[in-house]
Amino acid sequence: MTTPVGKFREKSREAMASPLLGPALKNATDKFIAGRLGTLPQLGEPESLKQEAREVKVRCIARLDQLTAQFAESYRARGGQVHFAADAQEARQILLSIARENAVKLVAKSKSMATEEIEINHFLEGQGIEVVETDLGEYIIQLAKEKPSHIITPAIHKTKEQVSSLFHEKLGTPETPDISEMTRTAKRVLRNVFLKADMGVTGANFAVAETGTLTLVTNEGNGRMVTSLPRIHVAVVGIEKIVEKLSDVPPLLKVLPASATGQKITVYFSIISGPRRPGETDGPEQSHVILLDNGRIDMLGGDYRESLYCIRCGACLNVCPVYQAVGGHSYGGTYPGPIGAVVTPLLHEEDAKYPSALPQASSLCGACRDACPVKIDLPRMLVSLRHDGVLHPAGGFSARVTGMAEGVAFRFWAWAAKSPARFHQAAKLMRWLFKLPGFKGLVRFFPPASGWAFARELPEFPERFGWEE
Amino acid sequence: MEQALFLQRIKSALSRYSTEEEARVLAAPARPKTGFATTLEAKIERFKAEVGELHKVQVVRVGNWDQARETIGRMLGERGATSIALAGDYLKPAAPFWKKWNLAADLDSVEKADVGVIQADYGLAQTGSVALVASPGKPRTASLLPPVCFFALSVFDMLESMASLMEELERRHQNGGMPATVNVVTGPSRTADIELSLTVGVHGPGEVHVLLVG
Ligand code: SF4
Repeated sequence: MTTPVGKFREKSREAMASPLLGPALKNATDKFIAGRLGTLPQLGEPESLKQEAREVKVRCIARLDQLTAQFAESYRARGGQVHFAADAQEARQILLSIARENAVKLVAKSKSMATEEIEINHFLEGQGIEVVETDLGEYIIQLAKEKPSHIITPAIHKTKEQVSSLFHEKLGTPETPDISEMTRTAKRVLRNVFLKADMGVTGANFAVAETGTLTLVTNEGNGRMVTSLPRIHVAVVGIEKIVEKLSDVPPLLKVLPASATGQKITVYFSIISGPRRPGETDGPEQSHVILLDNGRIDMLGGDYRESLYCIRCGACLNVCPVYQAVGGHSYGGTYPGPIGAVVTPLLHEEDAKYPSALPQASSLCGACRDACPVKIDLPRMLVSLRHDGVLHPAGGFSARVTGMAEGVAFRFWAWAAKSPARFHQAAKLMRWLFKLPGFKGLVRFFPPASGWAFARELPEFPERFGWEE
Repeated sequence: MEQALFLQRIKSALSRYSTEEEARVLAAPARPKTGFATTLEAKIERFKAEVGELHKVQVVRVGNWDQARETIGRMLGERGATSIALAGDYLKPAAPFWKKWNLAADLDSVEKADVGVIQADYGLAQTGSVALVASPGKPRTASLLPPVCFFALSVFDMLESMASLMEELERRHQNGGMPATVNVVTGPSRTADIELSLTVGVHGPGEVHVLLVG
């Protein structure tokens, strides 16, 4: 039986064996780390910038029921339409019905983690609707039929030679070592997509309840294109993106690009409040927002709530020794790195390959927590997930069962430790259990073994302890 | 899912858990506003300094809108531009001035224009950004589709920061005038998606310049 952890390790070993990935990852994470450390202090005292950003999230998430209601009302008042999706499937169905009603043939997408999470591309294509990713990195991985390997630069695992041959193969352009040449090719192809697309699909970095506003950060301008040219705009927005008022945005926006790429601000910051107004000659005629749950509401109801403060900057990936070694694809889901290790088991992500293994993918060194611009205590949640985690029959994760498993394991050892005789009995039981096929796979998920199981092979249970008669 | 049910689920999730931190943050008074530049000139200086750090963006200051048009005309001539996408009331009134160029009137010609010439609505000194408010006379695409873009900004529209822009938009919202789109632009379109190597002009303009007027 290959356990989820086994699969994660297998994937990681493959990644580490690739001669190109290591240097690419090092280059990227080094640059991003230097960027963040260089830029944040220019904007203010880093600790107080982070604290201020965190407080915005704490306040808004604590009032998310009211703010979600208010956002829906304000967005409608702007002339937009609001939809609620409990899971990925519902979100896709909503998207499809909007597309069908409007005879949409071509969808231009700008980069968004929420739309990655619900996997719309294959779905819409299966329905005869073409979907094109327009962020350069996303476009590359769409052509290569891969998943993003970093939240900020999705194609970071690809070398320019690989991109060049990919373009050659798929677009028929001549091979070139020149990155600006490749960029021009993508620009030319995608310009046509922007002009022809009937529907633009985006996410949102922040959604403002008071004004019914969506905001988007981009550097390339594709976010502006897909919200200016197609006649329909659909934004897929995780509920945790909602903030109360416009003035909540600057503290978050201050730390986002600085922590992501080391920029003081992205090239474009779009502040969009509904469809075009009368008399305007561009901008969408129809605007929709799909508010997405997909596991978030459950996260809200317990001590993983804090993970909803995440602004998806990628800083925790860059500093993580595990991410640095194994890269994004090893995590087998949409969100890699420490934040991925926390949210993948909690989100209802259908495509995640081994979500229950991910909390093990950390050395708990704490670098992620220190880097995080909203001070999310990722190690705390990783430990807690390890304790809560048991292998669900479906390979998924069940927080409820897990509480029990934790209880049983700890109570058993607490009881056994009370007397040498008992411990002796317990050890005998364990020896017997360890010989059962499959047991070692399972025990990896039980505390106290689970914390270490990823890092090392579980030893045989000792035939006798030194002090045993 | 029905809105009522969706909201009910959020509400009950919130009621199942809470933290001391939340209680503390919710009870805390709003943070005081922090500003850095008191005078107009200080804001203009900061703006110029910030723009200076962006990728090859020139910033030129002229005394009034006539001079602005002239300077823009000269810059257009230097690069041999024949067609332009023109947007903004302060630039437009002098219609005869623009005779020399084909003025883009529809999406197709905006797409083919050599240069977008746009009156910016606000400047953000702290980041060297300009903010563009979409309106009937000011299409979103004029500053997006052409490969080069000139922004003209009245110095009296210079704000301190993103926070001041948000205050301004909040005011517009209270007065029922929240624009459908505001784009804040800081330098030329760029990407670093291949090997993290910086490349400008991927989808939006690869070259932008700013004229400060006043
Ligand atoms: S957890 Fe923190 S550091 Fe990681 S992506 Fe989210 S906001 Fe950034």
